[in-house]
Amino acid sequence: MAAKQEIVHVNSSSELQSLFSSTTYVALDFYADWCGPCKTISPFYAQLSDKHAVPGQLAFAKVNVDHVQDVARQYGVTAMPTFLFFKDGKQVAVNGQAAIRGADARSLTAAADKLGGLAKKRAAEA
Amino acid sequence: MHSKVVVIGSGPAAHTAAIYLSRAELKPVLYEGFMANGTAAGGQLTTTTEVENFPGFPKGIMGQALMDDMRAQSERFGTEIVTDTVTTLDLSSRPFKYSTEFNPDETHTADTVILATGASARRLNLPGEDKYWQNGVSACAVCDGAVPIFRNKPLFVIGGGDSAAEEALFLTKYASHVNVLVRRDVLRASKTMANRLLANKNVTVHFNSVGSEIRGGDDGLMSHLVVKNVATGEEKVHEANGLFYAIGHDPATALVKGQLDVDEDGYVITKPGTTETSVEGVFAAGDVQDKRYRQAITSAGTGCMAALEAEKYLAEREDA
Repeated sequence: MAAKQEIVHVNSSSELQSLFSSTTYVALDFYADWCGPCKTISPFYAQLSDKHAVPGQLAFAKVNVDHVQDVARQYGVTAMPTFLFFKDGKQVAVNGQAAIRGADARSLTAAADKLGGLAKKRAAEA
Repeated sequence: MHSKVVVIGSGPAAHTAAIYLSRAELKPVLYEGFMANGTAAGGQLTTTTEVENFPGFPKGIMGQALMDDMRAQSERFGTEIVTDTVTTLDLSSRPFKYSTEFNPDETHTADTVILATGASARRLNLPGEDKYWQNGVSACAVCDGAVPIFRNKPLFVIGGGDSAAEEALFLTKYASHVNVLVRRDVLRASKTMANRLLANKNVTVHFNSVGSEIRGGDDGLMSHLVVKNVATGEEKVHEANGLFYAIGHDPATALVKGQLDVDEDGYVITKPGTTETSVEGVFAAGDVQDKRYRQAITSAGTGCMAALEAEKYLAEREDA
């Protein structure tokens, strides 16, 4: 088994681009330090990363909207927390949802399970 | 699972009760919920910034930090804190029965219940609100203030109390200008907050004013707010990229609907001077039973009362 992958903190647009080029599937959590719901879901998101992240295949990353405004603007984040999903750098809907807005543990778990399955399959085929 | 006492809630009332109960070795179980009533664990204080009137913190303390500390204090004395939301509660027979969101098929029991579910933010249901909810319209400035659509844009806050003043002042960090709509001709906020708000150059307070319609653009985002002057009846369209509600709260009583006596506004009725409800063994503390004071410190006070009353109730039953 590969070593456990930590949550990736994205600090700039270029860091995000390099994450996209190194990793097939990326989940992004847009949050702010002030935001209570963001804080509530944060340990949950970390658990999902522990369970599903696969180096090179699936990464769980976080974007602090206060610090990395351009990325939040690029993806039209309008409420927090917002979770978006990417494949090869392109935003994709998971389970029919283009974005998960709010601390919605159930939808987030379902999306992570789905991506985790796809990532595992790709890793096995590689 | 059976417990002598279960606390439902995560704010100052719930944690004060849990601190007293755990120190009395009653092994309380506290359900803090997972986004119960749409609010993070810690309750309404997690949607505020600095708390300046809680005794013991002369320099003020952030609402979230205060709640983190209260939670840690509950845990220190052995409170079992469960991050799950109680979704059913049956008070018709003893022990009381309940179940939770994440384990709906499991039924737990308790000899006593302390209801400290608080209150949740009210919405206005203006035309356009559903369409632009979370696309400009928000019930939590502190949660959403930093998103890019609000940067250097005109924003509106509706409400005239302390929380409206606080949200408006917080939003000046991001907005080009903050407008506050107050239905009456006077602010309900405390003198300190009212003066701070009126003195801020980046804030305009519009008295006798209400929002009447939310409008948006092709991008799906809110762009304008129609404001009505209730004194003259005149309506005016303002550019507005964000709208924040601070118009009060409704008590979170869905769990006990039809089981506990509530007043005409839905607040749980307690016997004056106590936290006893219409069902013996069920105690209510904090904002769920208080429409008058609604302060962190009064919530903590009633949480303490509820714990002591539950302890006495349990002791008397054991003796009998």
